[in-house]
Amino acid sequence: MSVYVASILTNMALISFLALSAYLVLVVGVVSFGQQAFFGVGAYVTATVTSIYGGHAVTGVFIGMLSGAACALVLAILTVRLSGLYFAISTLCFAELCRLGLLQVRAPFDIDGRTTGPDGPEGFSNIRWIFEHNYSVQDFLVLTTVCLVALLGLLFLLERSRIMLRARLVGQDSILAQSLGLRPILYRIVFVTLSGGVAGFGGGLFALFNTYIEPNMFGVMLGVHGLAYAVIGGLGAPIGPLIGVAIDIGLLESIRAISAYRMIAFGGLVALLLILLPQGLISPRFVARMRRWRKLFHV
Amino acid sequence: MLSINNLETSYGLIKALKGVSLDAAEGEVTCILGPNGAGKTTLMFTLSGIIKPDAGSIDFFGTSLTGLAAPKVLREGLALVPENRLVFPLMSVRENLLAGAYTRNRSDKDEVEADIEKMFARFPVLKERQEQNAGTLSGGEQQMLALARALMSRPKMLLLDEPSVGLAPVIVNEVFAIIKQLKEDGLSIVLVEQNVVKALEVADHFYLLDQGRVTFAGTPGEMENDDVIKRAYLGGG
Repeated sequence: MSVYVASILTNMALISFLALSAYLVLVVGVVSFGQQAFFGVGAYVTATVTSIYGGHAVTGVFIGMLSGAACALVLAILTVRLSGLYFAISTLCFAELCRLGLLQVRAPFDIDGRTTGPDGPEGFSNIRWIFEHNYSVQDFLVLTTVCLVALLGLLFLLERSRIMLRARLVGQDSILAQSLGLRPILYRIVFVTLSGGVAGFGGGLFALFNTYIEPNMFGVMLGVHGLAYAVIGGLGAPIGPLIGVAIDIGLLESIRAISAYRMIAFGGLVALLLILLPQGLISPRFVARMRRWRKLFHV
Repeated sequence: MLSINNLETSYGLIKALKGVSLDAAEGEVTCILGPNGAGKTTLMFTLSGIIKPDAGSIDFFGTSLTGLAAPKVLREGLALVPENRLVFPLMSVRENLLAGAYTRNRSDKDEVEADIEKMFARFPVLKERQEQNAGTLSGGEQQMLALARALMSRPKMLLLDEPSVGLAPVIVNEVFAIIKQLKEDGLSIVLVEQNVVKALEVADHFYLLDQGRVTFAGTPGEMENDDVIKRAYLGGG
């Protein structure tokens, strides 16, 4: 596999973490424009742990994931009484606050004659863990894919659990869910926190793979893309957001002839899908129908 | 029995309930009438713990429900069927019923199954459609499902928020027949209604709510003879 193909596939896997984190928030019935913040926090924390403190990548990504989750928990608690549009706006503000905050953090370190550490708009360079441990792009693709498949496995288990079923009740109608004795606030806090962990994990891998990160990588457009993948993919199953990623990056960006028009094509596609399939490709309705067919088949 | 004393609830600066006091006796149907914006739904939401009251008290069979969160209120045996949000449309009828047993699910699976069968016996149409998505049911069937789902929590008292709204007259008759049946089975019901004529068929006690206050309380007989109510709700003078 060529380095080019491997790096495209790795990028697809990395952005899938962001799309899945957006999915987890959508499941409980709110929209977040701020998942990129958790992705960015995960990336910065992982970079700090591995490059400045010399930690192992696993440690780095793990702490990155926890940091993403912690940020998300804070945000979820602060926004607990906000609904719909107000929640969406506050997530966006939170993400911009994180990005602008990171632009102000200047703490460059000199390690083995190389400058590393966060340096405001100059970014965080020389995240050399994968070089030092001789990971090729192809190796890293395998690593990222394994992590993504593991996450999908966990999400499928979650999907079969009562927790997910109830989260979906809350997402569909939070008042009705309350009248049945559920606590929508609790589900929202848990799922937003989980989403922060997933995004932070992906961000950590992103930092290791990219070897250089800067605050402006984690701007609004990144979050909007993650959200768009989840929306066009649909909320029926965790595979939905991955299909969204595959359509945008896999199809549009990779075919070089049309890659220049990618944003136009993707924007058009999102608009078209929202008109034709407002629930996304793998919608809850689609999943319910599949389940019913499967049942009929067995009987 | 349910006893509400001087209940006050507000949305920000707007006071929706300005000191509501009322009693709902065991085994009776207590009907709350009132125009749009009177605070009927706010009262239902406050009773079921979805909104917290600013002042006043709610007593239910000797337990104070004041300020309790929705899950705890439901566990105490007070269940709400909210207005206009009847079912989870993308879930099957059976899944909707199971969602109603959320507060008890874990320990007594067999009993929950038995209760679902009871609901199917009471509402045969739900049995026919148990695997169908609830969103494909008619308005009347959805109301039945909502009632059945609330009963799945085995409540001592049911709060029904305008069960006849948006239904065809024939279906309204069916819904009220079921309410009557539930009452005969000994269930206590608080019924919010705008259809006074139908409410008169089942209610033992009436309260009129207007702009967040109780403006009338009495028996069906007293109500029928009240001039204001006659003019506003029953037509004629």
